[in-house]
Amino acid sequence: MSDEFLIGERRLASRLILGSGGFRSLDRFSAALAASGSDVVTVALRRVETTEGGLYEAIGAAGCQTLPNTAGCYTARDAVLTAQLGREALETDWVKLEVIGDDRTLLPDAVELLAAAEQLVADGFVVLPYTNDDPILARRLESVGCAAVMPLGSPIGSGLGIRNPHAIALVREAVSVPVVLDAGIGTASDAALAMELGCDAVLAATAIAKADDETMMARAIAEAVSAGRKARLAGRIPKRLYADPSTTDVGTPELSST
Amino acid sequence: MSVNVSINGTSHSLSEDSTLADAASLFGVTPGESGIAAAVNGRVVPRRNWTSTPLGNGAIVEVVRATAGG
Repeated sequence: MSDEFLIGERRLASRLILGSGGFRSLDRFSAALAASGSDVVTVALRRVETTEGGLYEAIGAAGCQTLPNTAGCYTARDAVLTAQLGREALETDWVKLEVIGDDRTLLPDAVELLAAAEQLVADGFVVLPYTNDDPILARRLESVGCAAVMPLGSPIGSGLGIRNPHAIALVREAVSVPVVLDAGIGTASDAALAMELGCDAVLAATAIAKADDETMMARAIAEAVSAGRKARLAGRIPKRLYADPSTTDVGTPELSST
Repeated sequence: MSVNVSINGTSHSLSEDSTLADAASLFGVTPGESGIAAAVNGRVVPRRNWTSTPLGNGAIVEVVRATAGG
């Protein structure tokens, strides 16, 4: 069965996007990347003296595409410049657009996010915005030309899962571009739920990077994404208040003597 | 003559014919390296132009690399 996943014009084999942040070492990242089956990996941009080389090469060696982010930006202006630095550094016009409002919640600043998205689309970027679980904002982001929307399940790094599944389902209904559940994944069942709610893909970072066994968790979340996608396509049964016997009453023997 | 420039947040005094490539070389970075980018005064300068981009007095330079991040 064909079940294509496209972002922009790019066909992706995996519905799991891996975040590269937080791993204990480059080797452990590479092992988790292989186990995840992901073909897109997010990266950040930081001053050279604070970083070590090798990540870009490791992602390339795995045959994966980099998705530079704008993590740490609080204004549209900073996010646009960071996106442009990412395009120059990584030779891709894709950007995971993050414009946050404060450093305690890391929640998106909707006003700055929409302004940055509009500018980057005009500048030729394929924009994947990290956004609130807000269907109206998602629709606005789609209307300015974003290639996908990436609503949060819960705050970045919290591992709280999807706090408002109803809102994620509404985001799915609100837009026709791909919906990628971003932020909040804590374990495999969170990823499965995202897919069952109709998300097209899941982005996981901390849940894998900080697991005791990153490679096994990468595999588990990849399998959960796949299972959740199948369940979505299969069509779940409606929820009912009362029981519905799976065995017929017809032909039940009369065994009472009174 | 020299110029004062800010490179990744630190003030430096460079000769007045210094280019962006000279600034990047302070970190051992060359324009041929992959995964890096630089901006001068808030504008990205393509790597091929680093050696021909002068740094005027007061220039603000940022040199960044792709690194781990969510």
